[in-house]
Amino acid sequence: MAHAPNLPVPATAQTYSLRPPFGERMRHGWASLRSNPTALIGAIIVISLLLIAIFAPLIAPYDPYELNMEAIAQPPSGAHLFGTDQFGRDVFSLVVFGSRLDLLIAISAVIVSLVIGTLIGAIAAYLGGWWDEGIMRVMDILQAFPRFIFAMGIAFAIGPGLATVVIATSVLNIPGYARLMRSVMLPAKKSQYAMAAQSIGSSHANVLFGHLVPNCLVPIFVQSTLQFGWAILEAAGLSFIGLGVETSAAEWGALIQLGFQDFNAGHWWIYTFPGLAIAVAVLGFNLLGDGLQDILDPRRQ
Amino acid sequence: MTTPSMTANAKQPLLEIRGLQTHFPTRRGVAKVLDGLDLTVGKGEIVGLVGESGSGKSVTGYSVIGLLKRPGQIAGGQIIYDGKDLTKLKPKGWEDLRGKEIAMIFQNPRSCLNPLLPVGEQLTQVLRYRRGMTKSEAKAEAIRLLGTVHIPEPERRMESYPHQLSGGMAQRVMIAMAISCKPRLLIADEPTTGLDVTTEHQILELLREMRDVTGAGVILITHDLNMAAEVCDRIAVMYAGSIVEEAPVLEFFSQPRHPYTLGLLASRPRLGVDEDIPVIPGNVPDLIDRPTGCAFHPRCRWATAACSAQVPALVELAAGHWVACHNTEAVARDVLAAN
Repeated sequence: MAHAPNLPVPATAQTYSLRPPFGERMRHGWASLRSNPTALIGAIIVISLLLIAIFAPLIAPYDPYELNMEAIAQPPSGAHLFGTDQFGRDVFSLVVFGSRLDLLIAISAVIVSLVIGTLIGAIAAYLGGWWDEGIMRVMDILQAFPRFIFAMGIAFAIGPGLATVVIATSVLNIPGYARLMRSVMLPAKKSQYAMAAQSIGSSHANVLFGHLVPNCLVPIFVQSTLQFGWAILEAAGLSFIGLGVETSAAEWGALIQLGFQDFNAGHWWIYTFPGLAIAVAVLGFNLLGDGLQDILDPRRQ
Repeated sequence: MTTPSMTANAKQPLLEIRGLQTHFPTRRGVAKVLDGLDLTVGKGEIVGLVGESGSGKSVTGYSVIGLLKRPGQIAGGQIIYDGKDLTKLKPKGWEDLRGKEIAMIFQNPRSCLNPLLPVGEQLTQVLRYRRGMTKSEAKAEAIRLLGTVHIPEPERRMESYPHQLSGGMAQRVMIAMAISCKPRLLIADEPTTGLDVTTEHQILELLREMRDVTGAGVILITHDLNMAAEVCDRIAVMYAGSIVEEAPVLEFFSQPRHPYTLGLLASRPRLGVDEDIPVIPGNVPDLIDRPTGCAFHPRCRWATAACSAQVPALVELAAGHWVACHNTEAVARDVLAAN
């Protein structure tokens, strides 16, 4: 419908603001991040970690897998910032390259558990009744397993390695997401827009995945940020007890195990620096998660 | 069995509800929320379903569109739509029917829209999914529909999120969405609750206009008799899960015959009359432990022994005017004497 050129635009058109442009939304996001120091520090740590992982070959002064028999187990110095390990490898380079493997494990574990857990929780809540009861009791059983025993079971079945760490960490985190999704979905499925969508002929699948799930994702994303920290800890823990990647790999948990073998020799630098890396990474993700919770939760605004 | 207005109105009604029983089992017993409801809606007719809170108006709407909330279930009776009994429909059949044959609009329109999606997106999704349109066809049709419901600058409004719309605007979007698949029956469940009086009037006008344009039958559920008077062709009064009186709108207001209708009409506030508003004594009956006979008899000043013994059937007093009462003659006499 075209207006005659000399007609003024109806007043109602101005009374509501329409969808803000992309740039404005980004500015808004940045403003709320800046006003929340917790989230800001967390974001800085996480982004630095990602950059370190991506540009590891440029940052690391040595090849992490290069053995140097001339410089075995040397304390930190100008040449080797974090010292060297029993094989003469540069610990700083190992820690820098370790960020790749640890972030990779954390990201894949979080994605796998998020997708599966969210689906399970959403379906359980939507179907309700015996389905809900049955599915959630299975989640209870999964959560009741001591985590490392469960990982040992998986390692026994498919052997230790990267896949074991990812599978164990994902499966163990599924119940958390399922439970969270269920708790958000239960009130959401009673919402009027769900009923209105049904009244126009939308199928259950469309109502659930097209309307309800997208409206329930905010707490899931916050949870997943916090989960990254836990996934890194878990992955490192599994590698430390020998169920994950082999001890020679550039991975923080494996590196700590390597240093632990030399504990009595007093070579503290081999396990301390990867340990610090884990602490900083976990801290970063937790700060970011807590901050995001503050920013995204409308009740706290 | 003859039902009201079958003889009086359309020869082949669009919707015919016969003796509908919708029950809600509870821990205390079965609540018979609808207990033998009869209602007919003709093509292109606006029927007002009037009653106080808890009389089963909304449950009637949800029963017809198959969206009863748990633990509600249809325990008896028939809902005949276009010759088919909807109470025997399978879930897949409901999905095909909703939107294309029967659609519904609700109160609180803003919470009926998905808060994450622009309204245009929601409208085009329905058109693509339900009417198999391409993206560009759906967009053009969505803009046309928004224009149909008199939304200014529909192209721009397509981008709006639900929270950016006023209540009246959101209800217009809901109406656009409800008529998008050309349903032949529209159920409007208190569509103007929470809207101001001017907007209320506009929404009612729009409903009537949609009826004129699409020829759809409309069930307007409301507790407001004045609102029903404004747009309805016929008014049916509900009490405790069944119809107690039904009449064409003019006759309804000029010659009401059921004691409950009289009470409702008397309790409307009037301008310039400085007396206490007469209220109907007593409370809505307990739906689990219902009164015997006529559900209204404990509150009725015409009640006789017959009223507590037997449920009165709907009887046609005049063409299209049906009343379920044992004492219509005594009531008529008293009403005439009072005037």
